[in-house]
Amino acid sequence: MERNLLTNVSLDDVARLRIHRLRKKRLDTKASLCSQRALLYTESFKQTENEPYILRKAKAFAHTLDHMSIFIEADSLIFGNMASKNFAAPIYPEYSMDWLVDEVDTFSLRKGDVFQVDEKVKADLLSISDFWLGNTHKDEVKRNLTDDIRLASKTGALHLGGISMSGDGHIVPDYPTLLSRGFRWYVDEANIRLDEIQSYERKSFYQAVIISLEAALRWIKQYGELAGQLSIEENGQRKVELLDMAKMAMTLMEQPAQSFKECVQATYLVHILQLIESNGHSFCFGRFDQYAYPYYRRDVEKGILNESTALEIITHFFLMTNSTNKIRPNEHTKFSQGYPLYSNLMIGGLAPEGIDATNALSSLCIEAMNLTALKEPNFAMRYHQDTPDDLLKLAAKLIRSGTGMPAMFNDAVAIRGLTDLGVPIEDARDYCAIGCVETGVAGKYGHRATGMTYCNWGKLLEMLVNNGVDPNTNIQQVSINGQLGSDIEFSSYDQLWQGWRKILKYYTDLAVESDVICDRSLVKFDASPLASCFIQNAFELGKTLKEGGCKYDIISQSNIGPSVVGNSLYTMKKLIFDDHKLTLNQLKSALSDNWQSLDSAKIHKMVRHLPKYGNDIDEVDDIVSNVFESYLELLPSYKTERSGKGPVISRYTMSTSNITAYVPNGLEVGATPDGRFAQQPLNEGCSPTQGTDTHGPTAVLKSVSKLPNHQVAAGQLLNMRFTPSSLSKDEDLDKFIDLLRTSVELNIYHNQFNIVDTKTLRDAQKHPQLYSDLIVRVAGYCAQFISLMPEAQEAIISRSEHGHG
Amino acid sequence: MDNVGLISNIQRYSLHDGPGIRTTVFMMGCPLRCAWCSNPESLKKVKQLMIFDQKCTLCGECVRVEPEAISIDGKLSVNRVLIRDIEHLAQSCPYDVFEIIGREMSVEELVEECMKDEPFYRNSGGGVTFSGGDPIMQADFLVDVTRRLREKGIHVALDTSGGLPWDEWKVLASEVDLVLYDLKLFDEEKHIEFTQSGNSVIFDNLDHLAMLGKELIVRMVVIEGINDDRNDIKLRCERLKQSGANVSRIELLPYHTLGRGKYIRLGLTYPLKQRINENVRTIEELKSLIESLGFSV
Repeated sequence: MERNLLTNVSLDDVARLRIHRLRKKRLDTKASLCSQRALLYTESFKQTENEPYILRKAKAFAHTLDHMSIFIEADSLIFGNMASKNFAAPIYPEYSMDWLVDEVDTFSLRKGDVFQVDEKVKADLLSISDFWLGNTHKDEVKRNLTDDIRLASKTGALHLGGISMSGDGHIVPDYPTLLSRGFRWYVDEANIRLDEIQSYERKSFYQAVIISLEAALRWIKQYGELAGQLSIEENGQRKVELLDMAKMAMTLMEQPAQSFKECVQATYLVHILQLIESNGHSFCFGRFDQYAYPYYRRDVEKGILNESTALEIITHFFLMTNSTNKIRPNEHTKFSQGYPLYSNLMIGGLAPEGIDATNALSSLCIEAMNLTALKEPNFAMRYHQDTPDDLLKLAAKLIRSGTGMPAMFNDAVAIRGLTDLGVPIEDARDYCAIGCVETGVAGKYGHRATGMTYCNWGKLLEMLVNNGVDPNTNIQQVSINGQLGSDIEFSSYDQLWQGWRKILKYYTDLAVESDVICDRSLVKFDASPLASCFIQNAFELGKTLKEGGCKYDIISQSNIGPSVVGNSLYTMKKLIFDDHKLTLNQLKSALSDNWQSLDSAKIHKMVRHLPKYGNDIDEVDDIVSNVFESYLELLPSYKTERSGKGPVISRYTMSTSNITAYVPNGLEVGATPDGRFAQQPLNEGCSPTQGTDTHGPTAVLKSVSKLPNHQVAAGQLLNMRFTPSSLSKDEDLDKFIDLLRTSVELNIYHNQFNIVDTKTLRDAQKHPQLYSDLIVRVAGYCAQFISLMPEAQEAIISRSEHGHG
Repeated sequence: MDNVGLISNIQRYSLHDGPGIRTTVFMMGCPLRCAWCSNPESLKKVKQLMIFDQKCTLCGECVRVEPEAISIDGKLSVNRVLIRDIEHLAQSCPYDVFEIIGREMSVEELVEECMKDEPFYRNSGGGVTFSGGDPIMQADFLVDVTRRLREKGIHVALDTSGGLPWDEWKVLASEVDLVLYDLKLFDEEKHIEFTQSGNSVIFDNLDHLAMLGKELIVRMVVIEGINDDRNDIKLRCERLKQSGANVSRIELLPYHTLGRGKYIRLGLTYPLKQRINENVRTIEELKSLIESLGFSV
C-alpha cells in the first residue's frame, strides 16, 4: 500500500509510483548469498603471500572493486551495489570461515534470518574454505582465548559478540570533510606523505590508502560507463537521468561534491565501499541533515533544486540502503534478529555552537522515512528544549504511523555524558547515534561505542545465589564465600550486595580481557585503509583505526538484564533481610522448581506483590540504580587496547544497547528471585522487565529518570509501546509530544516507541505476561491492555483496526 | 480513622478526563445506579471482591479459609454470601484468583501519589481528576486532598454525576478548578428508570455550579434508544443555557460495553438487558444539533 505524505511537499505521480515500485521490490526481495567478494579476495590473497596484511587487504579490496559485477537499479536515482544482487550478503572469508562451511546447508532452513543459497555459491564457498580455515580473525581470537573466558562462554555468562568473528564497523565517516575534499585529495596527500615518511608501518598505511581509493575511483567510473550504455536503450526522463549519472560518475570524488545530488550519491557510495571493505556493521550516516544542508541550500539558491526533487533523491537513497545485507552465524543471529545493518541516520539537535540546528532537510528526512518505512536507515532524531514544535510534531506523526522510528535522543543527557568523559563541548554537541542507541562523535570515534563482549547479568545473578556455581553446567569460576560448591548463606543485605559486586567484577574483568583479545586480532584482520581515511586523526597519524588512529576511543560492552537483577536484589532484601518472611534456601528451592509446587507458588505470590522497577516506586528503583552504579564504578580501572597509541581519549563507558540479546540470554537463565520464570527473556536495555510495569508510561519514565543516565554515555535504551488508537486524535498526539518534552526534563537518554497492531494485541492475549507495558485507549482513558477483560480487549482490537483504515 | 479515602484505581497518563496529561483517581461509592455503568466495582463505598476463576488451579487453599463458602469439586464454586472475610480469602490464594478492589489511602498518601506526575501535568497543562464511582460520595476527604494539591499548583478536576444534595459537596465544588458534569437524561421518569434516581437534584446543582461560576465540561453518554432522543438532548441543552453555567464544551461519550466482564467477576448481572449499538452516525448528528444550540462540542 502506498503511504500518505505527512508534509505538504508535492511529489508528482511519476515520482510516487516509482518510489512505490522501488519499495515493493525491497519488500519482495529474499535474502541470498553472494560469493563474488569471497572468490575475488581469495584470488588476490593467493597472489600476495608475505606482503604486509594491510596491503594484502587493500589489494584484495581493489581487485574486488575492479572485477565484481555492478548494476544500476531500474528506476533508482542512486547507484551502487555491494553484491551481485540486491539484498545478497557477501562473504568475508578473512574474518571467519568455519561456520560458513558448517552451516551452508542450513541457511535456508533457519527459523529467522533465512538466506537462500544456490548450488554455485555453495560450491564456491567450499572451494575456498581450505585456503582460509585456520587463518581467519576468528581463528586468531580462538587461539588467544584463555580457559577462563572459554568457561565463561560455556556457562553463558559471557558472549563473545560480533567482534570475535567479524569486523567492527560502528563508525560514522567524517562526511563534511570527505565531501568537501573528494577521494582524490586523500590519494594526492598520501603520495606526498609516502615520500616524507620513513616508518615502514606508516608507509604501508599510505600505500594501502592509495590502492584502495584509486580502486574506489575506478569503480565509480564503471557506473558512469554503465549508465551511459543503459541510456541508449531509454527514452525521456530516465534517459536524461542516466546521462546525468554517466556524467557525474566520471568526476565524482575526483573533486569535492558539486551538488546536493553528488553529496547524497557520494554518501551512499562511501557507505557501500565500507561494507565491501569490512563485514562490520553499523556503518552510519550520522547527522545527514547537517552536512548535506550546505549543498541543498546552494542548489536551491542557484535554482537547480527544489524540495520535491530533494525529497525524491533522499527517498531513493533511503530505499537503496535496504539493498545491503549481512549474514552472521546462526548462534550470533539470535542476538541480532531481522537482518540488521544498523545504518543509523540522525536528524535534529544542537549545532556545535549550541543553537538549534533544525533545517529544511530535517523534515524532508522524516518525510522520506515516512514514504519508505523500511528497516534502514535506522532513523533517529535528537531533540532538546528548543527543538521546534513543528519538527517534533512531524516526528510524532511518523512514530504514530507505526514505523517505530525515529528513536528520540535527548541532547542534554547525551551531551553531558560525553563531556563528563572529557570530550570537548563542541564535539559532544555533534554527537550522533552509531548503530542503535550507542552514541559517539561522527568522524572522530573509531570503535564500537557498545557491544564489545556481552555479559549476561541474569546469569551472574543466578550464580550469585549459588555461590558462583552455574546450575546448568556446575561450573564454578568464582566463589562468593571462598568455598567450593553452591551452598551459601548471606547474613545481611550488605553481604549479598558485596557478593554481587564480587561476581560482577570477576566477569567484567574477564569481559575486558576478551575485548582486548578481539581487538588485538582486529588490528590485523580488520585493517581498513578506506574507512580509516575518513575518521579523524587516522589519516594524519598514518594509522588504521584499530592501530589507534581515531581521536576518541570510548567503548563499552553490553550488559543484559539490569532490571531483573535490581528487582531480584530488592526482593531478597525485602523478604529475607528486612521482613524475615523467607530464607534464601526457601527461595532457592522455589527457583529450582520454577515456582511450580504449591509452596513455590505461595512464595511467587509474595514476590509478585512486591514493588517492581518501572512503577515509579523509589525503594526498588533505587536498587536498580545501584546495580548500574556497581558497574560504573569498575570502569575507570579498565584500559582499551589503544590507550596511549594515538587517541586523545581512550576509556570505557557503559551502554544498555543490547539488540535482541535479552531473548537468548534469558533462555540460559533459570527462574530468578524477581518472579521471572526460567528461560523467559531478561529485560531489554534499561526498560522494565516485561510484565512488571503496571502504572503506565509516565511511571516508567519516572523510574528511568532515577538511573544515572548521563553516565551510561554510550547509550541507554528505553523501549515503550503504545497502540495506534492512543495517538490517533490530534489532541492525543499533542499530549504525546508533551510526554516527549517531559522526558527531556526528566533526563531520559532515549525513547523509542512501538505503536502496535492487532497482530501484537492477539499475541498479547496469548502471552499477557510479556505485555504489561502495552497501553491502549479504552474509552475516555488509556489503560494497560492486559488488565482489561477479554471482552474489552476484543472491543479494542476491533476499534484499532478501524484506526488503520 | 478519619479522613481516609477508599479508592478503586489510580490511572496515570489519562488523556480524556480534562485538559492535558492527567492522573485520574477512581473513588468508590456512587449515588446513582446507571444501567450502563462501566465501573460496577466502584458503586458501593466498601471493598469488593473480584473473582478470576480462569486462574484457578483447584489447589484448595481457599477452601481451608472459607470452607462454607467455597468448594472445588472439579471446578471452583463460590457462594459470596457465605464468605466471612474477603481480604483473608484473597491472601490465601497463591494464584490471585481473588482480588480485592478498594484501597484505603490517607490524604498524604493520595497527594504523594498524585504529585508523582507533576512534571507531565506542568508540560501538558494537565492535572488530577477525581472520578469514580462518584467522588462527591467522599467529598470531605477530597476537599483536603484538593486543597493540598492546589497549594502545590496542581489543576484539579471533579468528574461527577451531581447526584447528591448541594450541601454535601459544595465545598469540594468550590475548591476544584473544573467540573466534568454528567447530564444523562432530561426526562425524569426515564432518569429514574435507568439510574434508580431522580434528576431534579442534578439540575438544581447545575444552578449552584453556575452561581459559583465554575468552569464546566458537560458530558453526555449516548445510548441508542435510551437517551439519544434529539428532543431530550435539546431540553438538556436549554436547561444548561437557562442555568447560566460556564460551559466550555459538551462532550458526547459513545456507549461501550467494556465494563461488562467486570459484572461477572463481581458476581453481578449486567443491568441493561437490551442490545445497544455503538452508533457513530448518531453521535455526529447529535454533535451538529448541540453546536446549533450554541455549544462547542
